[in-house]
Amino acid sequence: MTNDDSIALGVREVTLPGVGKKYVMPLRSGGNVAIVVKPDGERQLFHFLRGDDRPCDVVKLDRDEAQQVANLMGGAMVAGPDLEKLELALGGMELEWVELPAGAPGVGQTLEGMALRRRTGASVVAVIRDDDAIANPNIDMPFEEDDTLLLVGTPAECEAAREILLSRA
Amino acid sequence: MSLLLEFGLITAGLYLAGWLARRIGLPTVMGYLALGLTFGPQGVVQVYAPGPVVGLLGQVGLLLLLFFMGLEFSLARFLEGGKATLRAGAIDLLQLPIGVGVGLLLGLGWLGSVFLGAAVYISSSGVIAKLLGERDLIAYPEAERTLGVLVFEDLAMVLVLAGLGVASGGGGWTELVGVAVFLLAYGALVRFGMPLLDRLFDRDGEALVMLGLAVVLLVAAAAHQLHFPEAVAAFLLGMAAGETKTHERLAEALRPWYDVAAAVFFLDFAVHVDVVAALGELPAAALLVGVTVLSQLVLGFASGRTTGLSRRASLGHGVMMLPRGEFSLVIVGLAVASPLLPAAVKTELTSVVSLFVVLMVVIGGLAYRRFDAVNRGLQHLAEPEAARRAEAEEAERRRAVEEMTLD
Repeated sequence: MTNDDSIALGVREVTLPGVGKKYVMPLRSGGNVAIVVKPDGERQLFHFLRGDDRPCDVVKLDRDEAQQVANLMGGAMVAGPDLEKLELALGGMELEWVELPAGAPGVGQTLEGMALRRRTGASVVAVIRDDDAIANPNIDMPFEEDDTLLLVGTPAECEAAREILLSRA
Repeated sequence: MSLLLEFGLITAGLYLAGWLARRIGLPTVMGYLALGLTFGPQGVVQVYAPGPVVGLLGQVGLLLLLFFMGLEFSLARFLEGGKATLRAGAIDLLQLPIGVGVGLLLGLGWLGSVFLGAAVYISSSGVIAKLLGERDLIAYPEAERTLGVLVFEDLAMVLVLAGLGVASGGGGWTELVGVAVFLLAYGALVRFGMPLLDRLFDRDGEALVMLGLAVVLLVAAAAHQLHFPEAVAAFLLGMAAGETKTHERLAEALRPWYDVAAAVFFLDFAVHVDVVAALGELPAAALLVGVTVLSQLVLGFASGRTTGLSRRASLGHGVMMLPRGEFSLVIVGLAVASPLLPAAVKTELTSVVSLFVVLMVVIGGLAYRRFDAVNRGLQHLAEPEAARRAEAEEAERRRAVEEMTLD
């Protein structure tokens, strides 16, 4: 069942009940890399040499360190479906994350007030607020500082919406 | 002595005992047991006789231990496991009849032997998960299998406890009716009452602690009236509560009570052990340990091999499953509370299982500390040629990598 699903690049996802999830990725150069993801954000990276089923080394990262390594590795930490595949499914549209810092024009505004879709064509499909995901926000829900908005639209539309949310426009 | 002083000394003693245990690398439970075994009325230094504080908290502790066990069990997790877990778990389950067999050999009678079998079968999930993490064994292929089998064991325990619950109700008609009523009420709760339970536990802070405690205690009391064992009722309640949306908050809210009460339970347990008599049971305990270790390794190997693990990993799986701990004592606690067991059987169970747990904790701890060496040793025992070859290949691989990096 879940234990043999492939996500991408032959990555195998394994549930470790009571501990977290393990992702095993074969390396083209031989051997494997396994990443154990714990619900508290801790990550453990195990390296397996070719032919070994026991790791030869482990790197333990707390939540911040894991984020840092992920950034250095060149990408956001995605614990879900492949973003590329998602973009294809959206037919050329893209998903854009916009964070509202303090003082941004978007803070305190509502979808209705800003008329984002009418003016730019982009839609706000979700708001992440304090580790909660609010899907399909009401048009009269005011955005708050440190909210992260998820926009859907063409690259141009998203850029226009970003302008409105973050700078004077 | 005054109740305040008793309570104060107990908590202080438990704190120190737990601290000491952690310092020498043992789980805190060992400390609590040692405290009771040392200072109890039948202990090494007989200073303390259990008073009302220990009695009440110990009872609550047993309830909370089982409530939390039910809470943490997840049917979804069990179903996620798939065929491999089912097969491996079914093979592991054979430990239960083996334990029952040893019980019959020791003259514990049928019910006593079932309690013994259950106490001996169940591996300590908490200790194993912790040790897997501490010793970095979590990414080994057999760790997956081990964790899966532990979830299977939880489900098996549900059934065993429910069965023991029905059996312990007593023989008469009033008892059977009471048990039936309780089970019916529980069935109704699970089938129709879940939204109610969701709303009930959807609150915060002190309201949640108060209500949570009240529900556990009152359901247990009701079960007692219906001649259904309170501890099993608490377990079933925990399982139902575990399916609510707010079960994590509930667990968090009740945890401080759990920490204190469970510790007192183990103290209370140990305080009732006649240390001198228990030492007399050393041969029986040693037999039990020997049989359990052997069967666990063999069954673990079989579980691994029939579910796609390599020989090495299958042996490793058996080793990983070794730790036994606090839940075995909880089972004995249930036995002691059962009206159907003769006193002699209760005493023997308490003595044998106490020794068993102490020995298994030490053996389990050692096995994990030297996991790779133990694994290798078992490989050499099982098939020396293949083991030597595998070792040589591995050494060669590592050397090759080192040479590469040193350039």
